[in-house]
Amino acid sequence: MSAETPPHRFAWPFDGQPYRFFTNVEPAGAEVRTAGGSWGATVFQADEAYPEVIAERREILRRRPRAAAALPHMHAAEWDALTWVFERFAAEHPRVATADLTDPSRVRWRNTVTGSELDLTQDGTAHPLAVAAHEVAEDLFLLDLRDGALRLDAVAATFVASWSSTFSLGMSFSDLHGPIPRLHGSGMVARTERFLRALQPGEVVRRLNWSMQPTGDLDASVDARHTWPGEDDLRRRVVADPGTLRLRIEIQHLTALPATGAILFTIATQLTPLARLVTVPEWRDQLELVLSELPEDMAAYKSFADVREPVLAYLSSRSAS
Amino acid sequence: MTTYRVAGRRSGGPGVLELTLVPDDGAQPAPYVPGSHLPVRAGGVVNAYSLLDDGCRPSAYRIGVRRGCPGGGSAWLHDNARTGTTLVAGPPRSAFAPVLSARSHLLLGAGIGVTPLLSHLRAARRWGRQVELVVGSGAGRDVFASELDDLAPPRTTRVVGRAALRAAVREALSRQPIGTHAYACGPDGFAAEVRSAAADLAWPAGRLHIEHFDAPQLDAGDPFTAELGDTGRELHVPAGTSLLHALDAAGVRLDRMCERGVCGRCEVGVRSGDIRHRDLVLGPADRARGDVMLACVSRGSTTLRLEVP
Repeated sequence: MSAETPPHRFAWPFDGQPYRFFTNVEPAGAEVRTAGGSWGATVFQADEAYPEVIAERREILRRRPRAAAALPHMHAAEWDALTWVFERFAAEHPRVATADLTDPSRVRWRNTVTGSELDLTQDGTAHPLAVAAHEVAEDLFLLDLRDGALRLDAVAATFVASWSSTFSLGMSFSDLHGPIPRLHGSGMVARTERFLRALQPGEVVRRLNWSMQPTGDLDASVDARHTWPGEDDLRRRVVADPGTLRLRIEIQHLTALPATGAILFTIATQLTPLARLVTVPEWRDQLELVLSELPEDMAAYKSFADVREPVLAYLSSRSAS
Repeated sequence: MTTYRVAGRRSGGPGVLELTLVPDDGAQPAPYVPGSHLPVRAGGVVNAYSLLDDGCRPSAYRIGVRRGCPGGGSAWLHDNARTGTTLVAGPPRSAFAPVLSARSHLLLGAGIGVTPLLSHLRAARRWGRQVELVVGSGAGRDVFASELDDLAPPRTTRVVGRAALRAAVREALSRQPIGTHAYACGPDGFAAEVRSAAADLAWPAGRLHIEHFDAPQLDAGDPFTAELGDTGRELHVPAGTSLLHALDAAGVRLDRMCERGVCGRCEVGVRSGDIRHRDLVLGPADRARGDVMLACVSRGSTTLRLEVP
């Protein structure tokens, strides 16, 4: 499925500077103007693609139930997350959903788009995080402080990029970031973990992440890759028409949940082909600068090292100057 | 920092004052994790007071204040806090939270140290956690007795006097199921006793959580050297000067509030060096990793390489 994000809502991640990893965290909720439009007014997305994305989310959860999984001690944190997600979503999108949380151990939820009418109790809800994931377009993750480290102890995620949230269940924050080049030894992982552990309830922060993807599939997880064409095939397609390569954006939000202190991490994914993005001249220029300059190991991590030349030639051919 | 108004004042037992605080601007107070404390500025100093409820959608903050030495913030609150008095406080800070993965929770409290345990007990009731409680008080000096009557779990031991408490704590620590986390709050002497009993019984350090309510009296400390990040700049920190103030003098300003190791604002990353921790915020795992310190009170016992620009 391709739920393409139009430029006017696209969370453009570059600013005219070369790209390097940094801890690009800022308070959530402030709208950001871009050359193509704006983004960031809300934590949860309920745009024109929302019904389609929810349908795909539910289909994947049905087909692959382990996409939602939690360690047994996480029930309280999952319930904490469910109530936070429903309350925030309903406050941000009152015409889509309403949430009644008068009694903290009970939630009544009505979603006019999905048609859900839920009356949930804290003790009677088996997998609260999975229930929440059925109603929102974001992937949901819970990090818990266990044995001295933050660990990924619950997931409900169907749209992750090039990793497996199921495989990663229970991993420490530091191990989760193991595959990222140039990160270890920089102190950045430890610094970020400290930052997350110092988050207090009520604070919501966000950051953007980006990568490149040859297809329009939201589900780019390792768990789904066997259904994709082979790597050579995908590469040939991009070389033949580099405008089909997608820029994949993750809008990530983080908060400490009020009743348990567990960290809720949400990812909203946006995918848009380069052909649409380059219609914004400033974006074309910035993309060319970033892609031409990025060191090889980071280009490989961002999934475009083997198509860099044809993509740069394409961007150059679209230059106004 | 937020301005709060005292909305209620009543006795929490002999020498103990219970204050109910609401944001002065009429806003809903932020939720807090059970076991959190509120840094309150009173009489010119900042003290951390445990919050008494479970923190879920609070309509107000309740704190318990024991009258401390004359001239201190707690004595000031006893003498001056009336309904309508305004106070300035930082946001609640969680440094003594129930561990979600614990099989069972053992709560140990002495005197006013029962206050964060009341918060834990409310949360334990809400989530159906297995919990055992051991509390002690001086003769006739029960603190928050009626709330304890209401919240006490089936396994509760309440004793009078230090010796009886010491014995009850040791006995309880000796027979907990594997996977239990213990949480102790009380004066420094009590914390030391719990630590020593737990060590005798081979408790893993990461399963023992201690909340102090007296800020320790700090000595001037020894001089040490701090290196600033990648800059190669070296900073001499003399005895009697905090790292925080030495950094100020060098033009590096860290966030801060209490400047006595209770609020956690001036946390700074440490790349290498041995730290002499003297704060009440960092847990045993943070201390074991040794990659973070609070610049207002903690010092280096060797040269410290700091993560600051």
